[in-house]
Amino acid sequence: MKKNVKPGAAAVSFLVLLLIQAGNPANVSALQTHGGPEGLYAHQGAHLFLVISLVIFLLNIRRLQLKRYKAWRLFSGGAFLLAMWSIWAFIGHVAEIMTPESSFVTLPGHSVPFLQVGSWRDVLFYFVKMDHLVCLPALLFFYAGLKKLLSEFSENGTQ
Amino acid sequence: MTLWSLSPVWFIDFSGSLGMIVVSCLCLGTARRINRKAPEHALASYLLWLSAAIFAFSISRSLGHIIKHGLYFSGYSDTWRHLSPVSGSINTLTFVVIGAVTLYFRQIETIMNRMSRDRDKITVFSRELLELNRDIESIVSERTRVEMGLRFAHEIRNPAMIIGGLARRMDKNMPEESPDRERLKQIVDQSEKLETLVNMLDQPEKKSSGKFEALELSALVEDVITIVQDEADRKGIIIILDRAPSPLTFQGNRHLIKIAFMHILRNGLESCASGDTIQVVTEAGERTVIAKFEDNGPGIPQEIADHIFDPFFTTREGSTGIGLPYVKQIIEEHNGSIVLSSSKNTGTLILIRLPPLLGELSRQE
Repeated sequence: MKKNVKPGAAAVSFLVLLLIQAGNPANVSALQTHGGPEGLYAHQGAHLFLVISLVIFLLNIRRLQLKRYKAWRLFSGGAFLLAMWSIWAFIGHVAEIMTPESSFVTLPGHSVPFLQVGSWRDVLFYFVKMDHLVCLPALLFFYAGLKKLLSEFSENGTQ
Repeated sequence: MTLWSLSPVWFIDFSGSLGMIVVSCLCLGTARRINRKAPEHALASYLLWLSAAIFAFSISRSLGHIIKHGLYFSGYSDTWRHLSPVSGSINTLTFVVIGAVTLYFRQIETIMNRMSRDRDKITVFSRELLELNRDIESIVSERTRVEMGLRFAHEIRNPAMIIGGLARRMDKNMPEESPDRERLKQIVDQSEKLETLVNMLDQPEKKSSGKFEALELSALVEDVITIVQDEADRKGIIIILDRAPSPLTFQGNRHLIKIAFMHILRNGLESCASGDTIQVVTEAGERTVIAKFEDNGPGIPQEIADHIFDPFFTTREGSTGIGLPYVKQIIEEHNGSIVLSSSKNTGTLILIRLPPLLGELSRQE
C-alpha cells in the first residue's frame, strides 16, 4: 500500500534527525572534527589579517595625504598602535604555548600566582601579557580622532 | 631562578579591560553623533561601522578577561576552561570584522570622490539651468508683449483706418472757410498718428539681439559632449568630435543652442545601443557654420522621419513629443536650418546650419 508523505512533514523530520546527529558527531563519519589547535591557528590568522588590513588602511591614509588633517593623524596613530598590539598579542599567544603550567606557582598567603623566571622566554611572556599598554592607547587615539572629526563636522557642516 | 608576581600583569589586564569598555563606548557614542550630524555622509557611516566593530571587539575581549579574573578569585578557575574557547572564538570574529571594515576604507574613499565629483557637476548644471530658466522667462515675457501688441494692433487697425479715411475725405470736401476745418485737421493728424502707431505695433522687432552673443560652435559642441559623456560611457556609446581647425563664430543664445545640441545628442544616445558611435562634426559652410550629428544606430523609418519635427508627434511612451520641434524652433530663431536624414538600419544624420550673423541665412534663402 502506497503511503502519502507530505513534503513539509518530511522536511521537519529530516531537520530533527540532523539535529540529533549533530549532537553525536562521532557517529557521523562524514563530519570533520576540529581539535584545539585549529582554534588557535584561526585566532592567530585573524591577528595577522588584522595587521595586514591595518597596514593597508595606513597606506591608504598616506596615499590620500589625509595626514594633513589632525583627525586623520590621530586615526593613523590608533591604527598603528592597534597593528602593533595585534603583533604583540600574536607573540603573546606563542609565548603562552611555550610557557609550561609548572612555571606558575601560588605561594601561601598570596591569591595571585607567581611566574618562575628562568629564561628570556619567561621574561617575554611576562611583558607581552601586558598588552593593554598598547591596546588602550590605540583606542584612545581613535577616540581623539573621532572627537576632532565631530568638532569639524559641527563647525563646517557636512562639507 | 626568580619569582615574579603576576599582580602587575593582572592589574593592568583588569584595569585595561575596564578602560577599553569605557573608551569603546565613548568611540561608538561619538561616531553615532557624527552620523546624526551627517546621516548621508559616506565617511560618517563608515566611522560608525568601524566604531561598532571596535566596540564589539573591546566588549567581547574585555568581558572575557574580567570574567576570567572574577572566576579565578571566586574559586571557579575550571569554569574558565569551558568558557575560554567561546570567548576566543568571538574575539577571532571581531578581529576579522575590524580587518574587513578597515579594508573597506578604499571603497569608501572611491565613493566619496565620486560623490564630490558629482556634486561639482550638479553645481555647474544647476547654475546653467538657472541661467537658462532666466533666459526662457525673458523670452516668454518678450513674446507675450509682442503678441499683445499684435492683438492690440489687429483690434484697432480697422477703426483707425476708417476714422482716418473718412476724416481725410471730409477734409478734402470741406470748404476752405469752414469753421470746423481746423478741428477736422486735428482729427486727421491724430488718426494718422494712430495709424503709424498701429503699423509700429504690427511690425514688431522680429529678433531681439539683446541675449545673443558671439559664440564659437566647436567649443559649444564640446561643452555639450562633456555634459552627456557620462551617460554615453554608461551605455557604452562612443562620441567622437571632429572639430573644425579654425574657430566657427556665430551669433546666438548660448543656453538655447546648448539645449538644442544636448537634446539631439540625448536622442542619439537613447536610440543607439552599446558599441554604436555618434560622430559630431563642426565645419565652415558657405556663409554658415555647420554642426553635423551622425550616428550608426538603428535609424528612423521614413514615415516617422517625415513627422519628426511636428509638435506632439512621438513614438515613445511617456514622451511629450515637443523635444525635436523645440530644437527646430531654437534653430529657426537663430535664422538657421535643421535637416534630418535617416532610414531604417542606416543611422541618422542631423545637419544644422547657422548664420555667422543673425538674419543672414534667412536672407540668403
